Amino acid sequence: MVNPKTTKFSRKKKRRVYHRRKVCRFCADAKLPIDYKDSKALKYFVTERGKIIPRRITGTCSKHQRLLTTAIKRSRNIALMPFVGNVD
Amino acid sequence: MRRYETIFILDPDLPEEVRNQILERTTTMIETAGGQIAKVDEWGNRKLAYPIAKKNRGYYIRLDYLCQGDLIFELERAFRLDDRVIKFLTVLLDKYSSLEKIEAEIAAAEQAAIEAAAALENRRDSDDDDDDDDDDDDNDFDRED
Repeated sequence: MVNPKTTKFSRKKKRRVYHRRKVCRFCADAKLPIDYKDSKALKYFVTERGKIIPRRITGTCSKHQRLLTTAIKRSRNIALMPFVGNVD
Repeated sequence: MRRYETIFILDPDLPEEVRNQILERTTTMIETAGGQIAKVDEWGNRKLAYPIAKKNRGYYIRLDYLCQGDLIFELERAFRLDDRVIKFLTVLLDKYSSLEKIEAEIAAAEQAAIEAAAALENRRDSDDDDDDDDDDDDNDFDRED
């Protein structure tokens, strides 16, 4: 028999996941440029498949995420980054 | 004048004379229209992220220049007609710029680079522990669902 009190307690415990406060990388270091020509730097903001990683995961602020998306899209246009597939 | 940046990719199999000829034609086009060229940057043969016109490599050339906006239409039309240019991209960098402004910018960037190198040198001298100094999070996917 399972004590309902303990199950309730354990469920409550499970809800509390350690959460790390993410900081926008570009706000933390104002010198860090967002440049569509620099595909090496942009690589950190796309998945292995080449999709842009949402800011809820990377922690980038909305202003910089907007700049990032345009940079990545420009970079794709001029074949520095792939639309689909691996970045190498 | 407006400051633009154009990157265009040429067919990698072209001989050097033809490449220079295309570059020269583009630069004269800018200059005859009253533009000023700030920098010609040849990146050379690079691997493309995806094949264009059945080519896996491309010869990248970057032009940094000042001109009026209407020149861009002409320039891009010329690129489109020429099938030796396999891809191009023009970006507006600054709406109101001048050659002096660009030069000052380049000088400032060089100065900053020298300072950064000096700072790095200083830090390396004083930093003798061997732990990992970067504090960026390597696993970006630890989200809570």
